[in-house]
Amino acid sequence: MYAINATDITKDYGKGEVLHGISYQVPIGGIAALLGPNGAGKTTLIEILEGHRGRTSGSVEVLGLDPGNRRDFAELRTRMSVVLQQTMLEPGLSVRDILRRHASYYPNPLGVDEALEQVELTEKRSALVRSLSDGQRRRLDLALALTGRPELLFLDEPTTGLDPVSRRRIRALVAGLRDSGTTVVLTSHDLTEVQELADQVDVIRDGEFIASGTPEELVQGSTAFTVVEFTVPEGVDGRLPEGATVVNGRVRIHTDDQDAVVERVQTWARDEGTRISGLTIVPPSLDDAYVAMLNDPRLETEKSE
Amino acid sequence: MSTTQTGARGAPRTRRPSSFLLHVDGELKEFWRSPITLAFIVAMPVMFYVGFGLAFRSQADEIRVVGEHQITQGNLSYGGILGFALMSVAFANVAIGLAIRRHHGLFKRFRTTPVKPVTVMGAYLTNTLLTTVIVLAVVTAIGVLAMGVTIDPARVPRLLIALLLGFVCMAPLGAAVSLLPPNADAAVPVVNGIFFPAAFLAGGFIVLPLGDTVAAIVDLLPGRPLTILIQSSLAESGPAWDWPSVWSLLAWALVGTVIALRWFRWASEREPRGFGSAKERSARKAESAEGAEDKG
Repeated sequence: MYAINATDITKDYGKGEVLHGISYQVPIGGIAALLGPNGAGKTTLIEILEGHRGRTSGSVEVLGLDPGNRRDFAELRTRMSVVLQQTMLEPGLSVRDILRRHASYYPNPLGVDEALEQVELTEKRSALVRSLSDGQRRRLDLALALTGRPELLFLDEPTTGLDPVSRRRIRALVAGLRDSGTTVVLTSHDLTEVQELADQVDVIRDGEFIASGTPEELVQGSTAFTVVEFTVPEGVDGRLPEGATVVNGRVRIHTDDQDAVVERVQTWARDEGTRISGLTIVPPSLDDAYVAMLNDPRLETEKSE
Repeated sequence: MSTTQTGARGAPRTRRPSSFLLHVDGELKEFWRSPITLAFIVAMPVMFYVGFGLAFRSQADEIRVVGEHQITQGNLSYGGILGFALMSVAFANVAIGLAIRRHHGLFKRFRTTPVKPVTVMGAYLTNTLLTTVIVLAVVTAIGVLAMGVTIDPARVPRLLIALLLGFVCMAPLGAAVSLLPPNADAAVPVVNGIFFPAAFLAGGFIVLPLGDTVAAIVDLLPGRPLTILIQSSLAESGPAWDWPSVWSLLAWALVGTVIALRWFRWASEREPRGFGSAKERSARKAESAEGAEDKG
């Protein structure tokens, strides 16, 4: 069962298509991340799914409803929530006032205290919004989004600009949503966050999906390299293992076969009569895989064909 | 952090305040807790009246002839400031407030929720009406107590109707003009660039020698008929009511309402959903998408 099932979506603003017949599915209860560079069509797709933008063609079902249909859109807004990237919260209102007003939109909302407890903002119940830090405002954003007990939550850059502690708090909350059965669609440029949270990642570029899978699958399927590093041994006089370079006093080798490289380095050290110290092996991250994906000339070739 | 069970429906409903009342409550708090709105929307007309009224305080009882009316200087100043204050709160405040809300994403946030547009806009206009009443009451109190204003009780209902007509005209025009600023930063200069010339050309304080052509154009703008109705309600003699001014204000109210509804936008960027025909276009698009799906 899918929370989102979109097929052959196209969108044309009148200056050519920005979405080229793409299909997108998100299973119920998962966290799906949508990645893509600016201008890739990510926001257009998300806004079509949220019902805030019309599509040129294709079919969309969100929680079994068509967001392009006015009546369905009205029902959908009672069952899903959207955390926008940057929006105004009235600075002169208290946290309680805003939550209480927001709760009045829904038939069975969370109470103010319950919502605040979820985002660990209880002590700010009476504080005016203007007195909150960025992280606290972002948590209030999330509390508002959770107030209607959404079945589906769209999260746009939930931790951008926040300090590490606030980021961790919000990530923990989002991870907890999975356990409660809420489906989350996450857009973020913080790929560490995506790697930590997402069950499914879809990468969009130029209005088409260029990769889909779990974070692990994307990393494994990418052309990004594992980086093997160690401290430059004394007495080797610039002689290095094959394919190695020196960066900041450390020998660095990029490889897609780390075992072979480690074996080669050990052989080289034995031949040089030296010892390897400070060895680190850093597998490619989703960040590396994503960058490699966007720069992959094979994808350009496939597209032109 | 903890998480909650989602999608839990059917639980017994408890009696809660309506969204509309909570929106009115929010608008009131937001307005009266903002130093900027207090300074520019509430205090400015009051301070302006105090300064202008005191300058002419010694001539408060002198009779001025304005058009077909004879009116005391005290009442002339008071009438001028009533029109100015009403335009400040119902026009400039609405235009600036809506533009800032739109460009800062507050409306977009509301659009992601089930709240009805009429609730959001109704609460905003209710707060504007309450604020208008408060500001006009303060100006009236200052006028009567300190500026030599004398109000004929028989003409008070006409004055109230004139002010209500002014509000009904200015608030929709403010909503329409809120569509002009391209971003939040431009809201104040763009709106004030319209408001201040319109307010002073209305002739509430002094009738400027504009020449026949310009005067004819100014007569068509909403500030002039509002001023005529207010002055006639405060005059010692002359016609008590001016129907052409009433029709003019109602026509401007209609223009403002049509424009505000026709081109209403929830967000800075173009969105398919709004009031009026934008909504219909969206529905048509959705239908054509459904048609394409059926054909496929």
